Amino acid sequence: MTAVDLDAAAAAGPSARDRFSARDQIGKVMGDGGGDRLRARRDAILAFLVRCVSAALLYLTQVVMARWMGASEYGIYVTVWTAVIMLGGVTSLGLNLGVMRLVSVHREAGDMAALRGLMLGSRAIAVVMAVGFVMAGYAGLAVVQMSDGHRAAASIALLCLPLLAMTDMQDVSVAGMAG
Amino acid sequence: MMPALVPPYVLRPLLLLLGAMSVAVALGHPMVAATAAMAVVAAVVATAIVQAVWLNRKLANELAGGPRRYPVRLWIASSLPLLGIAGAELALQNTDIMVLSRFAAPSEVAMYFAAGKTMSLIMFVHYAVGSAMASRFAGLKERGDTAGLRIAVRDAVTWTFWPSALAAALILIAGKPLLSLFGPGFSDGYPIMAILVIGLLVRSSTGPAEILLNMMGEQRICAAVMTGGAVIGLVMNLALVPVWGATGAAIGTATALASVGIMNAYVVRSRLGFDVAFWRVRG
Repeated sequence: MTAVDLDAAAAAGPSARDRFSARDQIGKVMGDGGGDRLRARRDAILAFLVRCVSAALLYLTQVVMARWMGASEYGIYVTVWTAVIMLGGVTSLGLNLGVMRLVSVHREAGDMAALRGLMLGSRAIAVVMAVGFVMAGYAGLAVVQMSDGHRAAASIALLCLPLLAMTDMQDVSVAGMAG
Repeated sequence: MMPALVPPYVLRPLLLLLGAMSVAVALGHPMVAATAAMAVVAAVVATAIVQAVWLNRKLANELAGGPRRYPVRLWIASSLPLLGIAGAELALQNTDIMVLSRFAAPSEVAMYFAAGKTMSLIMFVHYAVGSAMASRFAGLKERGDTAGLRIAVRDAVTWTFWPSALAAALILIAGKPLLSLFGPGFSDGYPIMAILVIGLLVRSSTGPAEILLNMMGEQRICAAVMTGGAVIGLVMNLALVPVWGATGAAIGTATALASVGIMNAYVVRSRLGFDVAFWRVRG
């Protein structure tokens, strides 16, 4: 099983994020009235449909990229992108998974200052950590042996990391605030 | 929830596709991996900015202005344990590509990737059932309704396994034409799909066991199972890929996925006291 992208991984399998977010949703589902429950169900179906459309688009993107570049260059591209995705999954030190729970922790404590801080701080931490990983990645490129094609693609793709981490954090922030 | 998902899940692939295509047309460039990487960077940047503007506007509405506090130590301490699960999951999903690319030609990596990507479309079922059942599991646990929980688990397993099996059959039937969409030579990856499907189906035969474990407060053992699966995958890939290339990667990864399924079944049985494996909950 391979993932094109963090998105593809999230769309294809139950990601850790979904598992942890669900726990925070319990109170919502159990405690609220019928209207909210209906809305929750509608949101779940919509979210699933968005993921379906997204998976189809990602698949189509992969087909077009493969045809466009040919098997050999496409193979280099998927290797480099997979490596970036693996780095991207750990740059935020798990905070991308923890934000959901932290939102409800701060909210239940009525600590709005911490909640506001979290919305800004989580993204700042993600970007700063990712910049560190980019530098470590360049150091790695200087040491590890690879083809020129791999090296050229990797040195460009590494630049994604900071904003990829920010997107990931924004994604969970929005979901956390909604939940 | 809905607009939140749109930027990362829809916008980025679309931008990537359109960006890549327009760059191709505009530059008449020899299309290489580095060019594709540039298209990806552009797509990631654009998505991040659009989403940031949207989120900031929403936050300004909901939180208003006010002081900010940064209990960073609390944030990191409560998140760091989750890093282990995330890391193990990433390793389980990507070890094959990383190992294969060290030992095989890029074209073989491409073929393997297309086959694996196509086959893993069946994980959709797993995801859908898992997220639908999570709150039901938790609610039943909260109420101490063990009998209800057993029924819910049996439903979840049935609703994961049969649709997964059906989807697997459909994808295998359409497999060769789907792979040949990627280009000439890609349909040679068909046997890889046939190997991977075994691992994927064994894993789905235990239903959303991971979600169940997490909902029951057994996150640590769930993390241990994921880590075990990731280690099995790494060892198997390192042992088999140098000998059998892409076929070895498929065998190693299918073994790791199946191991996760079997370990989950065992763990649920010993920790929660009931069966989660499809072959045991029937009837």
